[in-house]
Formats: sequence, structure tokens, C-alpha cells
Amino acid sequence: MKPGEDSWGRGPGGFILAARDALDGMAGEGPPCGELFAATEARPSERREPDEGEIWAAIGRLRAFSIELYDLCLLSWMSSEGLQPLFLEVARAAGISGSSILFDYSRQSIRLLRAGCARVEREIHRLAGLARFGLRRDGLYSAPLEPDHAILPALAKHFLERFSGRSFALVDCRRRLALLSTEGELRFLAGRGALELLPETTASEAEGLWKLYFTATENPGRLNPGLQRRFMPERYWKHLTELHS
Amino acid sequence: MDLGEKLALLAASARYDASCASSGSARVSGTGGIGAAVPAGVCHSWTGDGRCVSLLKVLYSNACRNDCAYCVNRSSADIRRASFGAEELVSLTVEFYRRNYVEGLFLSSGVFSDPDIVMERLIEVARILREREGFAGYIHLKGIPGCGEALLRKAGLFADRISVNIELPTSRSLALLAPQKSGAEILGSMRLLGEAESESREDAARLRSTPRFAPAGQSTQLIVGASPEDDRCIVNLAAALYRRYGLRRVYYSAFMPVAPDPRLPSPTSPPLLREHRLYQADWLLRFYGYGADELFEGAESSFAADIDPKCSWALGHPSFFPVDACRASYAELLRVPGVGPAGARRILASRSSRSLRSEDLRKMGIALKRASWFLSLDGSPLREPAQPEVIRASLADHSPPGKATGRPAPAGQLELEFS
Repeated sequence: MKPGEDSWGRGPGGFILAARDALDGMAGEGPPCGELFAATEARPSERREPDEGEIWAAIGRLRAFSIELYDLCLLSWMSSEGLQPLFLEVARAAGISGSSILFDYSRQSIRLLRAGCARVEREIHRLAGLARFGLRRDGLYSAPLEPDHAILPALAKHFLERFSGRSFALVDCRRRLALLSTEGELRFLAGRGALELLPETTASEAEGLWKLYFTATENPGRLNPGLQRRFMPERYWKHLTELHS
Repeated sequence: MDLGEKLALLAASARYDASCASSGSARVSGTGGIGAAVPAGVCHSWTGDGRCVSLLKVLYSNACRNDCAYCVNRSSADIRRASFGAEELVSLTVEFYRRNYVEGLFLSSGVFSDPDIVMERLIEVARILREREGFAGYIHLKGIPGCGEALLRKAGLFADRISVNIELPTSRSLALLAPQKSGAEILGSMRLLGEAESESREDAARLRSTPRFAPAGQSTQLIVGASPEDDRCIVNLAAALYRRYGLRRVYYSAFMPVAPDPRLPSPTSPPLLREHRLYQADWLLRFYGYGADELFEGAESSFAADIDPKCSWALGHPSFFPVDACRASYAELLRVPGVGPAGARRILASRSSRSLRSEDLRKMGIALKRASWFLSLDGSPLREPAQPEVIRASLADHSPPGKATGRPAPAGQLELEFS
């Protein structure tokens, strides 16, 4: 299962139901520890089409149990490192022993899950800054992204507030997914429809000024390119206009 | 001069200001407006010096009446001079913001005229952004020393943060290197900003619709190494600024000579390690519960080059240790080299559900190489005691900042953790 990709049309609903089942001890035995990262069968809750009311009830159940668990659920769902079985394992254990185990860093499962979720969270925060929007001829601001994880849904709220009602699109080029906001309405697209939202490649005046600014604001007396790469890994450079001459 | 040339010139003139933070404010725009300020701040890029780009940081003008020896824009410097128009700055800010290049604007200026006139120009740019464009991104305005009280109060209604740079640690050094600046005037502006901020907080508690005065507070910057003051003097000053005027941040900027001057030292490279130690000490003041007086208890008045200030304190206080990980308070754990706020919180959380072993500490991300000298578990020290010089050698951080060792250099926005 690759929830971030295959279940795009359904959103995280199926995974949320599976999480609720694990928490309440309703799902079958989880995979043994050694196979936590192996691909797994779909769990019972995911075989049927999720019902919206049931999903909201499951969200309520998870949040009432622990906001922390709900956050970990969504982050695991977006992860492309196969964190989902590990999350369900932790949810099952939390259902038995209580939410305090989520903070028990001496447990290997908690450390691995949290480290994986932290990578997703870090990428969300990073790309909130590193997304570069181009203005298309049709008036749409669009940003091409190539994130490690399927994080577009987590960026929606941030950019809805930032664009204050103006249309914008975020395109995950590698997964061929897009998030489009027009007149306050949010839509998710997949496949060719997603890629059609990419910005045009012609450089704008604003882009030229941004490059000039970026070069001028660097302090040549304190060069430290190693640190620059540490904060802004090279895999993200492809779409950063300021780094291309 | 076209807009591009002007932008390059006035950005290069502003790059010595270390602050680029866009955190501490939450705004949303109304209908037809644009943007939102995010409390945690957002970094949008990193330049080759490893510092983050969060704001469009420029001078309104690099023409200046003051002749400060350390400043690239001093009146006697033979450089091209230029000024933006308000509309140019508004348009640049909005265009950069829409493309997600920046979180907002950081506007400073040379003192090209009477301080009131300069301050009015800066305020006018912020006013147009907020009122006409409905801009809810981040605005940092520089307070021009010597401008009137009413103008500073007005600036705080549009800006998220205001800063007045203290520049140098003592009035004596200011008189020598920045003869047109007055320490009393700078501190007076800071006092006023501090008062306006706390008044606005009190008013907001009574009536929630009260507009907040500079919600991200005030910051300042001082240059390290242009004048003879030692670290003790600088740390005491920073602590007093935090305490008395409620500053959110003090930025330290390693001195880089911009022109030969007999009043100034001429180092071959900026004192980055010293700047780094000052940031570490600053973090100890703000997040670790240390007092400025604790950091220099002996005759020393400068930080050691080989170990950080927290390790120095620990080596100087053997009777405080070992701290017992199974019983110690959060504040006590924070004093252990190798344990940061995250590690201390994890120890507290984990020990509430099970007993701790040293293996658990390592798994929690505690740097046992350093911490093991200072920790015990249920009364048993993690490590046999050793001679102080042996411990000191094992605590040394040999990688000076600014070298590409993978360790963070001390830019203002970095998270410094002593772990």
C-alpha cells in the first residue's frame, strides 16, 4: 500500500478508519516487527469505500484519544517511506497501554515512527518556503514541486491563507498530482490534468529582480556553502529560480 | 539607475544586518488583501553564506549623514548612492510575496535627512502596504534613532517588528566610531518601544480589538570585535536589554572591515567563533535559565575558544553534578552538557512510564559523550570521575563556525542546541 499515492482520490479517509480500528483493537494482528516496513495487505477498513460520516466519527475518536496520535496518523499517511504499518502498530499499542506511550522514546517503535514523521513534517515546513510560483498567462499562480513525501494536502491551508482567495496551484511533478484553488474552492487532480497546471517556462521580470536580489544579499565575507546545502538540500534546487543563471 | 541596479545596490547595503526573522506575528488579510503572517516564520532560501532569506531586506536609501567608521554606507565612503520610491518598494514586496520568494519586507535606511523625515518615509511604505494593498505579510521596520516618539508609535501600528540598532556595546565606543550617534538616544527609543508594546498588550487584554503594537516585538544588533569590549560586557548588556526593555532578540554581527581606519582593528577574517559563543550564551540566557552573572563568575571575561559556555559553567561547578536523570527537575537537566530542551523533555516524559537505563538516554538523543560525565542514574554515576583536563578535552568543539563541517554557523535564525 502506498497511501500517499494510491488513495489520492479518497484522501486519508481509509487510513483514518484503519487507525481507528487499530486503536480500538478491532483490526487483525499487525505484521511482526521485522516486517514493519514491508508492503502489507490492505486492512479490513480499507477494502470498502469509506463513508464520510464514518470518517468524521473516526477523526473525532482519534482526536479525542490524543491529538498527537491524530497528527502522527496524517504524517504517516503522507510518508513515502512505508511508515503506515508501523503507525498502526503504535496505534494498537496505544489503545492497550494508553496515550502516554506516544512519548516513550525508549521504545524503538516510537522513535522510528516519530523520526519518520519528523522527516515529513520538516519537508512540509521546508516546501512552504521553497515553493516558487510562476504567474501563468491565464492569471494562475502555479508552483512545481518534487517532494520526497506526498505532502500537497498539508500545504493547502498555508497557501490558502497566503493567497487570500486568489487562484493558485501546487503541482507534484513526480507523482503527477496537483492541488488547485480557484475562488476559494479546493480541488485535487491527478495525471495529465495535474501536469497541465504547471507554470510556463518563460522568465518574468519579477524573477529577474529576485535573482539580482538573491545575489546581492549574500555576504561574501562569510561564505559557507556547506551550511547552505545543509538547510536547502540540493534535491530541491531544480525549481529554485534564484539558483539558476 | 534602473530598478534592478537600485535593488542590487540597496540590498547589498543592507546585508550586514543579521536579522531576517519573520516569526512572532499572526495576521490574516481581509477581502481583496493578500497574505498572512505565520507565527513560526518561514525561510524561503539560503544564500551562499548559509543565512536564510525570509524577507526582502533593503535600505530605503543608502545616502547617510552619519560617518560611522564600521559602516559601508558612511557619509565619507565613495560609493554610488540611490533611493527607492515608496511605490517601487510596495510593488517589489507584493510581487516577491506572491511568488513565495519572501515573507515580507525588512526596511531600513541611511539617515539621508532629518531623522523624522527618514522615519516618515519608512512608515509611508508600510502604510501603503497595509492600508491600500491589504498586505498581511511580515513587515520589519528599522527605527531611526533620534526620530520623534509619535513616529515610533505610528510605525508600530503597521510593522510586526521594529528594531533600533545599538551598534556598539558602550557609549564610549559609539563616541569614537559613530560620533553622530548617541547611546542615550538609542536606549531612549528602545525604552519607548518597550513601553508601547506592553501598553498595547494591556489594552488588548481589556479590549481584544485593540490594534497590536509591533506584535513580534523589538530586536537590536551589535557589532562584535570593532571595539575593545569583552564578552562579559556584551552579555551583561544583552541581559539588561532583555530584562529592561523586553527585547525579543539581540543579534551579534562579527566585525568585517569595510575600509581601513586607524580607529578600527583590521582582522583578516571576521571573528565568527566569538560571534558563535555569544549566540550560545544568548541562548543560555533565553532558553536555559542562566543569569548573565553566572556565565562569568571568575576572573575570566571572555568565553573559551575550545568549549562552549555551557560546558565552561559545568566544569566550574563540579559540586552541582552529577545530576540524576531519574529525579532531577527540568531546570537541573538543562544544565547538563549534552542535554538540550528536547532531551530534557524526553527524559521527563519517558521516566514517568518506566525506569531509565543509560541505553535509553542514548536512544533519546542525549549526547552521552558529553553528558555521561555529568549524569547519574538512581545514584550511580554514568562514568568514573576523571581529571578536569581530561573531561575538558572530551568536551571541546573543534569545528569553528563558518567552516563546512556540517555544524551550524551562528546566523541569527539558527536553532542552537547544546546537545
